[in-house]
Amino acid sequence: MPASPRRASWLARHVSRQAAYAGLLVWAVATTIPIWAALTASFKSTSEVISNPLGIPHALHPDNYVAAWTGRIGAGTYYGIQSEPLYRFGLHSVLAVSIGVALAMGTGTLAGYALARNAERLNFLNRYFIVLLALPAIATWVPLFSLMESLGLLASPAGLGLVYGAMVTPLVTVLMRTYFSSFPLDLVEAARVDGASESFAFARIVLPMSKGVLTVVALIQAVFLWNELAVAEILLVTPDRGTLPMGLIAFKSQFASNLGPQFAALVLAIVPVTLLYIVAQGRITQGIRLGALR
Amino acid sequence: MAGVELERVTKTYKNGQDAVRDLSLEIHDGEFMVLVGPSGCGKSTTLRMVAGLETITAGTIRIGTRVVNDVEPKDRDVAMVFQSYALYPHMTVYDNLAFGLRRQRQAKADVDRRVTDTARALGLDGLLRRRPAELSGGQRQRVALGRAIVRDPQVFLMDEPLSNLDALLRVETRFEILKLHQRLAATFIYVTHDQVEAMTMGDRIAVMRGGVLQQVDTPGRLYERPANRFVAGFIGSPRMNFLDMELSEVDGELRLLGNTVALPLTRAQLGASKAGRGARFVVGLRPEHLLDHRYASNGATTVSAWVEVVETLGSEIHVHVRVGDQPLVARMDPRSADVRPGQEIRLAVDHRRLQLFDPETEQAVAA
Amino acid sequence: MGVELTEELSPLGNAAARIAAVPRGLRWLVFLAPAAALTGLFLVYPVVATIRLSFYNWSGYGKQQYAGTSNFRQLYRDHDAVTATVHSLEFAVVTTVVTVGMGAILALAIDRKIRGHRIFQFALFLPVLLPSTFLALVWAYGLDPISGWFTHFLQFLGIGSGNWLADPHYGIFAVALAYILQNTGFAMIIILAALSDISPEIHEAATLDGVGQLRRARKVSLPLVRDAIVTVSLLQLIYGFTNFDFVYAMVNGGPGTGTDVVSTFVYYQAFVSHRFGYGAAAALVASGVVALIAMVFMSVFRPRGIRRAG
Repeated sequence: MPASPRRASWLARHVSRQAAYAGLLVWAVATTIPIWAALTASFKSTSEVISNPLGIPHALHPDNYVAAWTGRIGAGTYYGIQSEPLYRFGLHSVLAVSIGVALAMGTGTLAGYALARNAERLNFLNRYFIVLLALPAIATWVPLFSLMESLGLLASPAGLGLVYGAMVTPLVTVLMRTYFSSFPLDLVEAARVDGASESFAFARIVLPMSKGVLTVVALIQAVFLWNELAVAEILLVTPDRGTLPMGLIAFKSQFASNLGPQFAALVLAIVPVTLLYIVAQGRITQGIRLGALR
Repeated sequence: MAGVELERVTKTYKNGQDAVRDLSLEIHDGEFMVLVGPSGCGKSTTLRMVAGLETITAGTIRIGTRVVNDVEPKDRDVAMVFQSYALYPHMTVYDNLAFGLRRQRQAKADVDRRVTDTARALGLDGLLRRRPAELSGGQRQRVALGRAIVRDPQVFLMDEPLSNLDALLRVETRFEILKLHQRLAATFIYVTHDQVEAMTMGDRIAVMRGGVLQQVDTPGRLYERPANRFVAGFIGSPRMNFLDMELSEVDGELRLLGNTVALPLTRAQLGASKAGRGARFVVGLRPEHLLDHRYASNGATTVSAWVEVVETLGSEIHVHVRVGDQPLVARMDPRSADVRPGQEIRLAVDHRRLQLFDPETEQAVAA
Repeated sequence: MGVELTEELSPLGNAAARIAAVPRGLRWLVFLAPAAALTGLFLVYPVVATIRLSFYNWSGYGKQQYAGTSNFRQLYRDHDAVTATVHSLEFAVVTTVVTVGMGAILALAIDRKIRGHRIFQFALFLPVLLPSTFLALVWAYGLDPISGWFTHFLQFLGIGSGNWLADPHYGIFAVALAYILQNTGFAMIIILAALSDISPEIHEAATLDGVGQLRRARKVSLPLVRDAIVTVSLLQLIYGFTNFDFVYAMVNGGPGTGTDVVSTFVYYQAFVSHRFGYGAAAALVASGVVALIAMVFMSVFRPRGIRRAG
């Protein structure tokens, strides 16, 4: 029992600091458990998934991955279980997200630049895009469905790409406007006096100098759209035309009690984002700060 | 080659403020015209209007015989050197110089020749493959100049190009720019806030204040015959001394009476003014017209002064005195090096060179 | 000769100048048009159409029948709608309070550069980037009443067994728990960014003044990032209230489970039950609630600009 009060308080602080650290550790573990669980489960047989949920697999079953990728369990169709192959879902996602990001970056960067250059005259348009940012998506669902139906673009990943583009354009516009507002204007003026039109100066001076920011913004939008579920569900209707998130849910119902392949599919689905994060972590967090603290 | 004419040009901002008001100025072909004035006087705005980077609210700007009010900067055939140089950071020096030419779709061999010629003339030929970030301040300045030269424009516009250089480099570059002007014989419009720079460089100088043109004249005439009190005080260093005085007439002899100083006056100095006894004036005396009486001619009006501060510059001495409660600055030569603060000295006033200004309108009373 | 040349050139020059001068303001319109058109067609038009559609009955095919305010009156009495709204509110509040609170604590810890802070940051932010489908499905499995590992864990702690997700009252909190564990990273990153903006001199002054860590966090750091905390709280409230992806993936089932929320209610009404008008009305009301929440929140926690002293 510590005799002096000083020792007591030091002990208290030391203990409480350890306790706090332990608490943080627990939280971090809880946060990352799903990844661990999915990773280990993806290599297990179904029975082992149930009996040994969080431990290292006793026997490796890489065939889970084959099943997920091809959408078939077992050779032939003995089990009679079929689903769309995972790569089909992946392809749809790639298509929709690429179109969406390309559209949003194209239109949003131009609009953001125009708004930054004409801040006083076009202030009301700023508010237009900011209001759009705050728009709850559910208010657009129902008519969006009928609109796409009348355009013949239902169940089309490309059509989804159009909508995705519209969805993230406001964010791109606002982010790029913020960025362009602090762009050194005298470079553009020098180019204009040198003989460049505004558009030429934009293309040859402003854009090349902004590559870093453009990349980060595009990445953020790509990640967001890649994970999107609601609008994809509504507009793609059936699983066979679905994006990756839809595919994962379809797998759950199709593969039902075959847990191994389900987890394999889940792991496959997160590989791209995880790789991206490991590679570009600094850039992405930087980009989020840029947007959030405007 | 072309002159530039501004006719009643006005620039008003959204909030109603006038950056430039009713400016009429004719710049001759091949002239080196300096626009000078304190911050906010509208000199940069005027330059940018000539360049086409600012819109014109009212009035006309002509380059040569062409009205260019609505013409895009790229079509005006002018070149501009920015205070910050504005070099394209992602391009090499060569590409920076060639940018404007490529825009005009000149033949590639032609472009190459002009770029290398200009680079050589400016001493940049070893640096053509470098990026602006790798250059020193002086080198960047030369690239900025080169970019303008290589386009062979009708008019050169310069917006305080020397402010970012250290003192020594500034003097050298001033010289380079003047030589350039002689060689190219093109029209130069040069903006600065430094009146010394203006005086040494300009063929003519346009002094601006608060958006309004105060006077446009050669350096000599601006110095000798300032049109108003502002120009008189702005041009010349140390500043002109100003005294409030009243006109008196005794026995047909005119005199100016101040609180502690009295000066004789000739009728010729009053010019066309109909001022009579009791009229008030602001009297301007340049520091070099206040002399150490020991070295002045006899019979000059003298005044007793108490020395406050003595600034020794080597070739001349600036003596800050008080006559009563009136502060004055006198410029003396090294013979007066023995003057000390706290002394009482006698100043001789060269009253023939005084300037008269109306206390309300601040205009010069013609002489 | 020279004078004539000049005069010949200038009329041409003037004409060219006039042609080039026309599109000066037009050019910016061209810059803005694509974004305006794209958002107008796929965002603004649907919202306007939703408003109109909420006054009609429509199955998605055939004719629309004018229904006046009957959809709204029906919503008011619809027990499921009310339940969904309550669930959404519970979800929104719980997730906001916990993620922002925990996020602030984590951000403070990481800002202080405790041992391993880089790993912490990496690990805590990664889940935010993962598809909610992934996380929801893994957690759904973990909460499975028979085989789920989290269920085992809870039983181990003695907190009874049970089909959490299906529970009509507490199911939503199970979903919230999973969501919180994954999305705290979002609040954490934003608060962390704001914390790192605090000038180090302030911390130095606090150290010199002998202010302990805990008090410093409470009295110095957090007040300075108040705006970021308010912003992220509002964002989380709105996301939480309108969340679809996470909830849907987690229950992945039909309506009537214990975890129906506003967005899933709209989805089922419109696209499963084919009641477009009713769904539109529900979406409209939900959006109205969101706007209300936002306005109340903003007026209570009005963001103040930071004034830099000294």
